[in-house]
Amino acid sequence: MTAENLRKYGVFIAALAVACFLPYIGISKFMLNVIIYAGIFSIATMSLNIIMGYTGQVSLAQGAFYGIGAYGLAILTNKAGLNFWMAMLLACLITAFVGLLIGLLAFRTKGPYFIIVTLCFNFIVYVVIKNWDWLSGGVRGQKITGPELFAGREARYYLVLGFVLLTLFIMWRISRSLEGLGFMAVRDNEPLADALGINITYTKIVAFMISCFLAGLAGCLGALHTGYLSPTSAHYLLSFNFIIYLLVGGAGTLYGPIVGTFTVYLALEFMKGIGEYRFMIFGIILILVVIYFPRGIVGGLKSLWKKVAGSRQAEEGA
Amino acid sequence: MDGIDMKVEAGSIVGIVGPNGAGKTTLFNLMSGQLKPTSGRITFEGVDITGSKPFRIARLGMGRTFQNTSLFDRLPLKINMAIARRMRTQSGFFDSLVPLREREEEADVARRAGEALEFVGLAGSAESIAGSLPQIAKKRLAVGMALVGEPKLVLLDEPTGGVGAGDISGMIELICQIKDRGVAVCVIEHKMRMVMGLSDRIVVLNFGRKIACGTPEEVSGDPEVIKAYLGSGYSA
Repeated sequence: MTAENLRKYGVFIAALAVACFLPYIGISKFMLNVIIYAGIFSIATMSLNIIMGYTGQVSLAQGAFYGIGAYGLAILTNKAGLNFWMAMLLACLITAFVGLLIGLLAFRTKGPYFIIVTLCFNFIVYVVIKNWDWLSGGVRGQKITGPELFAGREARYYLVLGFVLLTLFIMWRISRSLEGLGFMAVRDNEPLADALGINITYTKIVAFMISCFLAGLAGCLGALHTGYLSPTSAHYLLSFNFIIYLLVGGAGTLYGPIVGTFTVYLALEFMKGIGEYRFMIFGIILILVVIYFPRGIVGGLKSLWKKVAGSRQAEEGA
Repeated sequence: MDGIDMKVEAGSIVGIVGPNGAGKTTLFNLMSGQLKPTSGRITFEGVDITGSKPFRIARLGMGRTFQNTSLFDRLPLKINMAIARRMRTQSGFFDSLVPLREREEEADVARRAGEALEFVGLAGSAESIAGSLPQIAKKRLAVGMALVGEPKLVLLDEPTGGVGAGDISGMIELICQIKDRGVAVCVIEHKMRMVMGLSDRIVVLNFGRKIACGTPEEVSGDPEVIKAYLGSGYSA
């Protein structure tokens, strides 16, 4: 058990242990609620990490895919009467499929143009959901009732925890795989990756589809937990939130999305006491993070650790 | 480019020379797919690759380096190499989740990456970050990355650009070793003595046109070439 391993796995195991017993260590119902939402949003942030942190494509459409997952679940259970789990799986697959269609269009553009296209798509989805009364219930929204099993808050907490771990696992596997190599190649030097035989468009679309599936999953869980849906579930403001969570936590890192989402979401919840001013404070913090910690909290910690380890080695070697 | 008509034969080294702006890198960009020709055809190993995308041409077996030494600067050397080998693997997203084929291919990629690093003499720096290397190491890494995918032809664009005089002979030796392995080489160079000594044939470009083609001796004696580029002071 080297120092390196202890750091890598020790923190994770400690956090996991805490997470397993969280609902029973005497936190308030409100706190648990906030944590469940943070968990759900961290899944969406992890989805953004795959397309943005690993593949370098900034998507402002994750809010739309969150909403498509949520509404997909609602429509499939309420209107089509599907079993909850089937509906959830199908909703995620539909979201991934929409991601494919959008990707085929959007990846004809690059850089800032791609970002604008994704933002436009998000806007379109929001407007469609808001106005297509028959399908979505319009502004009135829809109710969702999940299985009896998840009527209780604790049960939903463990469901979300399970999916957070699953998503983390998927991200971990991607980051260590040949597929992940392709993603990073596209992120770091697209023309070179092209010249090295990597199909750029195909790689981007695969990353995007995985990302959309997971965003849809987050949407399903969000719908289940709230018990109710409205067009704000697909709002483009959600997309900006995910970007912020990811940047603060650390894009391209494994734990960055979770750290960033929990940090920002919990901080904003706690600062509700000072009203709208919390956004001002938060804005300042965000600017500081982007300037001084461009690699986010996790990225910054990693660099710090490297410096400490480096100087320690230098001492030992001397 | 204007009326380029040339062939590169297997197992030979063809040097591309010409004054600045003659169109040498443009020629490479046309061959490896970064540019589409407005007329004419390009075939590679019997396949018509006119207008094909770079990644398809790379997969057919054409490797290439760039004048500005394009690398994955933030990543370690062995990862740079692994990425260069990625096109020869089949594992996709689902393989990353259920890593049966993935494990095998990962092991193979690691092995080939190691071999390629040894071939270019960088095995000791496998963990170093590419951006931190000196210029000669970066150039050698780029050559290794062009080779690890087992190409039939490599295009080397100024492999000794910005390289110190003491390291040039090492690069020459490396290029000869590439030829010994049966890979055809097309090399753009400004260092006349180097490219004349290295190449089996020379193609001279000026203003986008081929003004001479032949052995180094034939070309250095060609009055057109002397007039355009070598200057009257050069003697073979």
